[in-house]
Amino acid sequence: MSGITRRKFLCATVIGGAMTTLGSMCGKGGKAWAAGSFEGYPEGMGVLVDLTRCIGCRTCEAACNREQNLAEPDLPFTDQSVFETTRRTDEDHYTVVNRYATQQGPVYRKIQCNHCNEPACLTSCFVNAYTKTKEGAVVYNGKVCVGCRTCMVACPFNIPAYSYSSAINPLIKKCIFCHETRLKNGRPPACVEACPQEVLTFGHRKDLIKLGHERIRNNPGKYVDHIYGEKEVGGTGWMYLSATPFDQLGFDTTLGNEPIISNVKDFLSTVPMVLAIWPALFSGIHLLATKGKDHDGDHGEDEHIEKEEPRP
Amino acid sequence: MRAFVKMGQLVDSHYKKDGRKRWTLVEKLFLGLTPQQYIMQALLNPVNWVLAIIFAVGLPMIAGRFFFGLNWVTHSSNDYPWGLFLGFGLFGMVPLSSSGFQLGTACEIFGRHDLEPIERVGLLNGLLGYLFAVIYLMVDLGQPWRLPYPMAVAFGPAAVLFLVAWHVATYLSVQVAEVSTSFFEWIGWPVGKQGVRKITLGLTVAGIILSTLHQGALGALFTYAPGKVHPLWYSASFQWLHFFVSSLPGGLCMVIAVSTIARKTMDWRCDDRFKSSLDKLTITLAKGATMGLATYLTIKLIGIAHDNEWSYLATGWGAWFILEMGIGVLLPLALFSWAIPRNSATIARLGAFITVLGVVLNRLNTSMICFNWKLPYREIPHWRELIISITIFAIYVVVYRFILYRLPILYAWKEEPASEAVTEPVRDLRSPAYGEALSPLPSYREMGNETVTANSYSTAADLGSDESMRRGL
Amino acid sequence: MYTITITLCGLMLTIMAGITPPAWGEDLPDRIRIELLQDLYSPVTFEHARHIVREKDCAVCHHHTNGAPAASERCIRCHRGGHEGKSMACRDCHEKEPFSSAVVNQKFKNGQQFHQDKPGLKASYHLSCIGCHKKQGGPQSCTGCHGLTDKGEAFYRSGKHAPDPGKAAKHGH
Repeated sequence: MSGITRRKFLCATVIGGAMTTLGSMCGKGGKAWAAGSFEGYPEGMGVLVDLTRCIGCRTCEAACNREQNLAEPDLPFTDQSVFETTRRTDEDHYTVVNRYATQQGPVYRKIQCNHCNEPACLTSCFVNAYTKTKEGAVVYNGKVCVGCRTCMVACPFNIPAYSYSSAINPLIKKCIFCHETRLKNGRPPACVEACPQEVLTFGHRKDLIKLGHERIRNNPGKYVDHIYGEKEVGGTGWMYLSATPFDQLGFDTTLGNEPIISNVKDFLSTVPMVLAIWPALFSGIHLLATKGKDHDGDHGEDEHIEKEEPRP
Repeated sequence: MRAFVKMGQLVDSHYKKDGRKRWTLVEKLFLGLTPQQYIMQALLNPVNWVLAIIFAVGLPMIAGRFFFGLNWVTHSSNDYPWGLFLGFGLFGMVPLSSSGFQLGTACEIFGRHDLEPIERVGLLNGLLGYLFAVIYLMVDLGQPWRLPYPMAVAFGPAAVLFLVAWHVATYLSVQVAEVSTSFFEWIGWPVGKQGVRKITLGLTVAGIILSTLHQGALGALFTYAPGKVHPLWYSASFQWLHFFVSSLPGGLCMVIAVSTIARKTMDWRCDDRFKSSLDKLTITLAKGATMGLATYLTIKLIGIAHDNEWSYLATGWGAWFILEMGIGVLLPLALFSWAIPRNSATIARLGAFITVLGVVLNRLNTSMICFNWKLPYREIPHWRELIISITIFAIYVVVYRFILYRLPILYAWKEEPASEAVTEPVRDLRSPAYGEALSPLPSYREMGNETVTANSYSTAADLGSDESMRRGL
Repeated sequence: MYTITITLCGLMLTIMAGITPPAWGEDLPDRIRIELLQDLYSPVTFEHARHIVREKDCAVCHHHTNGAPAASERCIRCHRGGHEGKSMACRDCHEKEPFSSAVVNQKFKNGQQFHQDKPGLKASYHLSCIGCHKKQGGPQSCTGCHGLTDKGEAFYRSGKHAPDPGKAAKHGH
């Protein structure tokens, strides 16, 4: 009796384990993510944003609006009253400029997707809607997006916006580095081309880091000796130079240099362990807990089926 | 309802009182009442009046969400993308539904068959909780018709949500299978039931694997936003453990809560075995919950120590944290510690209700209230979001009630025809989970059971006799 | 009005400046028409002569290209002066399209030790002009130097193309 029963137990356990393994393993843990050591693809482009040059003319916003066919704004792009509040990106604004009051006068800051090397949005997406292209753009595929909005939670810069106004096809809206219309074809994004003061310097990310440090060195005392985005959250494609300490301009300076995926890796690595260990662990507990007790036959097994009499 | 039942007869076996005629499916659905009686009892029930108001307001609102889009029912916030649907409906209800794997494991793996009268309540609670968590999700998703995408169309396996999606889908199947035994009993398909019973152990092990991982995974979702959740609610290393461990008392206390409500409001449906064992089982579950709560308190303190967050306790957020831990953990611990040695099921129940609220509060805090703590504003959910959340919860209650009224969850299904003159002990009032009682002859196991398991629920007095049958219902 | 008056004065001053040393002021353009942003903005009529009178030192805008020592301390280490550049015109050193793939791919690879951080032509004008105007006074807004064309107004959604102010915002947040 016990021989057959134990075999059936293990059989059932394997079925149970296999079910969960099939259901959950699906390539999990296949990629080896090295923490913070991905410095971008060799051809990866970037933009260095020099906040000492920005005059708040909002030409970049207008250029983006035209290039990406965004909705008509509520106010003209020449309007300066928008600086009275701090704005964020939304479904009709892939980039905005905000003004910050500092001791040296107002400083303007352009925000947009930073096109991180190891984007949090990409790592959090369960349908792989985001791709980091070889040109360095983090682009989004609206055809597979389910609308879970985890990417919005994950982005440390609060950039992705959602088109809540659409009932049929709501999508994530964010700067895509003008990938389709320009970057793929070797041209700079619309905002870069439009900026009158060349606040935005476009080039290979590696070159921009050199350039940024050179600019800091060539202008002693002018800049804070730090390129924001060089290392933050694993490095971003869009980086910033500033004369004012970054935390006074709305930058999050507590992010650290680890890409967001590093926080999640610990949990993800327990997954295959649990899948492998739990079946044996609990089957073992079961055998121990029910040893000697008349429990073996209580799973509707053999002898009761045989003894069953047909219903009248 | 009780009055109607007295007039008619209870559906608790395949056969009507005379022992010869079988209930039809329609009759079973109408609880053995005539349609007029059924409607009458529904109209007289004050709970239904409240539900009617909720549905009258809420159902059109749910339709509106799909017609007009999410911006009609939410504030369309890009800073707070997740609202009540997920904060309460998903993050709140999933830990409360962990009773499925806990009671399944306790009975099937650890061999605690004394818990069997309440095992099915736990399993059903688990199934419905997850099912409605998915329904809340469908209302929240921007494109819910694409829900199967991570299964079949596009895979992002490095994402925690990928794990959650696959696990919840698989686990729902496991839970449906586990609850299906009672369904097969009710519908009269013993083959199906036997089939499921054969793989019960595998199902239970699968259930515990899946549950450990996705209860934890829901917590791990917040590790994508380490700076956004207040440090007292966030632990870089232990977030998933905090969520998993807090789900344990959550599920057990939810079962206590549901069984208390069922006992009070569906007294006619509960059989003697359930009614007389409930207090004892409540204490047993409370013991489990106590261990869970004590462990949770410990690991929360470890989490704070690990990240050296003690100084946050002195802030406003810290006060809110202490309040949450006080009400959600310390108070129930105190109540349970008082109630358990004194076998006071009432106080244990009070502790259980408070624990349920505490777990929900913790999830709301992590996902909504203490989320974006660095931003200068808090998001108050849109009033339509609140109404829809209440409405879906009302649907959950209605479905719960529908199943509890019918399926043998609160009572044991009698496999044999009920007859006036009983010539042998009706042994099938014992746990239907054993899947036995198809054989009218006493088997050695049944005889054995009367003596072997002292802690098993089936004592001689409850094995049932004429008396209890004539008396109870 | 204002422009015409100043132009006339400038003209006179230029003529007078022409008969005083240094003699190299003769072949300098008095007014320069900049049409770089022709699409969006009307051309700029830059009062070169006026600025010469104001600043006197060419190096302020033209670096060291006229043979005078460079104005900036950083540049003087190499450009001590005495050596005229090939051209003094801004457009002959600063690229019109500084971010074309040709330029971008050559960064740090063209053998040049310095001058990798050279702004493009449009930026040079704005950085130089606005930078100085901020310190010395002068037009600092976009339309202070060049008005918007109709295309420009369409681009900025201003003027005739401004959005209807009565239109309510689509949604909260």
